[in-house]
Order: sequence, then C-alpha cells, then structure tokens
Amino acid sequence: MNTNYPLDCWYVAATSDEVGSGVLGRKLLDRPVVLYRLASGEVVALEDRCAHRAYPLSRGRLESDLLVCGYHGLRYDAAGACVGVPSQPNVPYGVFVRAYAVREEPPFVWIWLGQPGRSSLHSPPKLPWLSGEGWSSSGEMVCLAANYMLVHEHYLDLTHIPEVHPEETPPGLEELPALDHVSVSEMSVTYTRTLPPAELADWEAEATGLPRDREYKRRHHGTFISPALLAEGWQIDGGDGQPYEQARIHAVTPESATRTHLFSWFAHNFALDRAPVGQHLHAVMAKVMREDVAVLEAIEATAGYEGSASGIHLTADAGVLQVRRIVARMLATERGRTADIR
Amino acid sequence: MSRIPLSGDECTPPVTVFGFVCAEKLGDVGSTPKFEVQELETDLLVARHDVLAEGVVALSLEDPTGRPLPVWTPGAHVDLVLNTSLVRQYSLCGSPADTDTWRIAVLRDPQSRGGSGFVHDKLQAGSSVRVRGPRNHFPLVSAPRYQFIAGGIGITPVLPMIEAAEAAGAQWHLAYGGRKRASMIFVEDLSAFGERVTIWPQDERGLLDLQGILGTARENTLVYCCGPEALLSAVEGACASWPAGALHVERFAAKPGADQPASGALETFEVVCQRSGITVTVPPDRSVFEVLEDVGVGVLGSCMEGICGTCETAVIEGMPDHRDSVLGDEEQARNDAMMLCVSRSLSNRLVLDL
Repeated sequence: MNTNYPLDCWYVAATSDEVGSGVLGRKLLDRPVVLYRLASGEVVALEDRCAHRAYPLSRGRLESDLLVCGYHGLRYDAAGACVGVPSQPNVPYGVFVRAYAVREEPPFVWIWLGQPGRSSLHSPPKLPWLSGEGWSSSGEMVCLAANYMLVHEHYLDLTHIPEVHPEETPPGLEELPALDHVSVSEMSVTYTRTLPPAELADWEAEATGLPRDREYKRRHHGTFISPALLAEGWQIDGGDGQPYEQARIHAVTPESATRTHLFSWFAHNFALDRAPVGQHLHAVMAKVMREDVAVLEAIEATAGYEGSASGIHLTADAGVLQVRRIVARMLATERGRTADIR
Repeated sequence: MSRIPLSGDECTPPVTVFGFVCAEKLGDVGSTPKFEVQELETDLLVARHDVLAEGVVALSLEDPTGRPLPVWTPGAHVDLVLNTSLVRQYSLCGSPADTDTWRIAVLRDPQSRGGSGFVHDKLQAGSSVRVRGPRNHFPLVSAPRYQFIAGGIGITPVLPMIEAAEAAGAQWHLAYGGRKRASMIFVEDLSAFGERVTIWPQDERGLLDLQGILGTARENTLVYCCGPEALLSAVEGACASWPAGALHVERFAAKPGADQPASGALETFEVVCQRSGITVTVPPDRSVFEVLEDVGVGVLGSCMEGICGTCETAVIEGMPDHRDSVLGDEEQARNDAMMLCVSRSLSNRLVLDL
C-alpha cells in the first residue's frame, strides 16, 4: 500500500517526559528517528542510522552533547554532522545524518519530517487545554497496529460509543444522533452534536458530583485540526452555571502504513481542586482508549485502511468524508500532481 | 477595545467555531437543528485597518477571544459575509505560519457593488466581521520553478506563495504590474528580492511584456497568475504553447462568456446522487445546487456565480455543460467534476458522487 500520510505536517514525536537524559529511538512516518536532549534542555532529532554501517544511533550513548554510535564510536553533533571517528585522526568530510526540525511544547515534542525548509510555513497547533490555565490534564501513549486514518475516522464519528463503550454511555443515549452540523474549511473539519437530555453515566456522576436524579443536556464536538491532530469536547450543562467541559486530544503519528503512535490526552475544567476527579477520569479514558484500540486493530487486521474506506457511508460519516478530501488534496499538492488535486 | 457590531448581525450566529473551549453556553442551544454540512463561519475582530496604497486597505483579522485560527495554505481565500446578500472573496496575504492573524488587502473598486466600499468605509479597527472559509482553489503545487504574474490587487495570493517557494528552495520570478507605482502594494517588501521581482507600473513601462515572460514554454515551471480579467485572458493566450496544467489562474469575477450555454445544453435533465440514492429533475429556472439543497442532499456552496469553487462535485457519469470560471479548459474537458451552482447538463442524466 502507498503511504497515505502527508509528510509536510508537524507530528508529535514523543512526550516531553519520554525525552529524558537518555536516547530515544522511534520509527515515525517510516523513518527511523533518534531523540535526545542537549545539556541546555533543547531536544534534538536525528536520523537514527549511522552513516557508516547503518547501526541505530539510539543504541549508542551521549557524551556531553555528542551522540556516540554504539558500533564504531562515530560522534555526531546536534546538526547531525559527524565530528569524530576514534579509529582515524581525520574526520571524513561532509559526513552527516539528517537533522529534523523539532519544537517542544509540553506535554509534546513535535517533529517536522517533510521538506526541510517548509517547516517555517507551518506551526504546531496550539493546545490550550493541555497547557493553559483552568484545565487539568493527563494522558498516555500507545502504539497500535492500525493505519493512522482509521484512528482519525474513529474519532470523527462517535456514533460508535453506545456499542463500543456501553458502560460510559449515558442512560437513554443508546442511540446517538448523527451530527448536527459539520463545518469545513480548507484544512479543518469541525463537527457538533447536541444530545437530548439524559441522566448521568456513572463516570460523569463521579467526576462532576452533580445529582443523579435529573437529566442533563450535553454537547459533543470535535475538530480535525491536521493529519497529526484531532480534538474533541464533551460539555455537560449542569444547570448550575458551572462549565463542565472535557477535552480529548488525539495526537496521531503514523509509524508505518499499518501502525500508529497515538498520544491520547484528556483535560477537564471543573473540580480542579479535587485530585481524585482527575485520577478517576484518567482511568475511565484509559479504559475507553483500550476499547478503541481493540476495534481499530481488528479493522486493520481484517481489511486494512483501503478496505475499510471502501465500505458504505452513513449520514454520520459526513465529517469523515470531508477529512478524506482534505488529506487527499494535501497528498496531491505535496507530490506535485496537479491533476489529482481536484 | 470596544467592539462595534456591524456586519454579520443580520445573519444567524454560527453554531460551531474552531476549537471548542469558548463555544456558546449549552443552555442557549435550542432544539436539535437539522443536519447540515457547511463551510466554517466565524465572527472575527478587525484588529487593524491600515491604508497600504492609494485605494487599498489591509485588514488584520483575529479571533475575538484569542483562539488560534484554522490552518490555510498559499492561494487560499476567505469570504467576508458583509450581510446576507453581500459576500466577497479576498485572498489571504499574510503568512500561513501565523495562526493568530489573517491578513487581507482590499482595493476600492469605483464600480463596487458594495463590498469594497463597505470594507473601506464601514469597517475599522474594533469592528466585527463574519468570515467564511478559508478555502483554496488556487493551491501552490510542488514544483522546482514558478513564474508568478500579478496584476494590481492580484498580488495578494502571490505573497504567501513566494514565502512557500522560498521555504521549499524553489526558483521563482514575479512579474508584478499595476496602473502606477503609488497604487501598487508591498512594492517595498518585494524589492528585497532583487532581480527575482520585476515591478512594472503601467504609466512608466506600459503593459506587462507577457511575450517576453511567457513566449517560450519552460520545463518544470508552473505559472501562477492573479489579476484583472484582461491580464488573465492575455496570460491564458500567451500560455497556449505551454504544457497542459502548467498555468494556474485565480478569478474573483466570472470569466466573460463562461455563463453561456454550450450547444446542445438541455433545459431540463435528471441528476442522480449515487451515494445518497436520490434522483431529482432540474427544471430550466433552477440550478442543480438549488434543487439538491431543497431535497436535503448535503452540498457546500458560496458565490453562486461559478467563481469560488466551493460546490465542486465529482461527476461519475454524464456530460456536464460547464459554465464556471474555476476549472481550466482541460479540466472541464475531463468531465469528471462540475460546479453545481452554474453548470448544467448536455446529457439527459448526470450521476454525481453525492
């Protein structure tokens, strides 16, 4: 299968925590990448393959700010240039591994694996839910055996919730309506769904502390921000003037055509002084993510992305279809094929 | 800064916005609205309103609550929805990397049908304006070399294209014509590029030397042109010997004669929406777009004049009668896509991917 991910896009390479004092090797967009920190704290990303015998540099070690290959000891600086070879006095001229542009915006380290100069034309998306005041957040990363578009399409159509996550479905919402509204711009798709009043699910009651003997309105909405990122929100109208909002951030980074790194983060803006609420929500969302992963891996194993995308369409797929158009256009523009753009 | 409510007030408020932290209070939402797919619409703040040259103002638009704006790419434009019947398209001319601000430049058109006059006279710093989009039907395709040609205010989409060409390490040249130097915007910024930019004020040098610029077709070079109709037509003529697909133009007014029916155009025909399983008959006095909208097939549309490209739809079977100004001749000849707002049919039955 041809790759179906755009290269010219900022993707999450790792969490800030993952890039500690050691050396982290990771395959991103079918490219081996090694990540580490300089003494200054700045994150560096290099091609994870020594220019000599292709040994992964991530199996080497750091010597102050130089990355030392664990095979024959070649030393590389932060720009990827080879600056030392132990077995000979001179350094071969012009030997380097590729250095990738990196931007750290906690909790994520973003990487640009596309055409080098083009990184300046784009910015990693801002994520106020994960860094801004008024929110508490946590999350985890998994690597799943499914194409990255399966992940996007899963979170663009949440009418799967009653079947896949019955325990988390508010009583009475077993049949989720399709979407109310899909808004499209050149590169983004936003959807909203207003839900009829319903009682609280257990997890909602425990998190919000709202009384269970009444029904609440909810709105669910989300935005495909880029091929690397999808954000969703779940608002509960508590009727008490308090905002009960939760955000799920899915940073989706292809490892290969059939594997994806998913950085799934969750934020809430209420009960910020009660730590158990955050722990409870984290546990609920971790369970939900495991259930999502099981579904996506089953689809990949059965039909792959192309097989899945050739299925029939339902009303609830309106957002999915718009996103497919955007990604197809990005791929065509990137590959210089005018004819395929439309 | 106090907000001066102006445009957009006659429209319904947008239900969705980019991001969702500050979405309107849930309690305000009425009954579930009917399902719709629409272009993104949002009310933005005019953060700056600057005069750039004679008769040209630049607007800087920001989200009133400071949220990031949706991503766009060079060649993209937005609609300003000045009121329900006054919608105008303007190219984004700032940097695509700036997700806090969108910039547009607007020429006062003496023959204005109300749009540019409104932007010049009624909007000011602090105004609110309804914006739809962005969308892009003038995308910068990856190529080793570009020839940019801009006439007057048509320079606006070219500025981010130059930034992108520079970033990609592509070779490029810009020929930039205008009535006179004082009416031409961004001349000073562009002079930094030296010989790669040729400034060509008509009162000093006459009309752009298109024969000199385009006379010989060049390999691996794409031509991007935006400007008044006379320039676009002349460039289309001068590029006749270039490979198909090399020329990309952007129009903000319908191409003269584009709306004329082709011979054999049918007054009444049938449209089949394959995915929805809906079949309709289009009568002489209604557009395909109107008929499909009536029966609830989700279609996007904006200008209704065949210039913005929003309602472009894939054609699976049948022969459209193309009356738009978006698709090039060769794209029209492929008959695999059509603009629903103006185009009609040469065959009794059109099957669309809807």
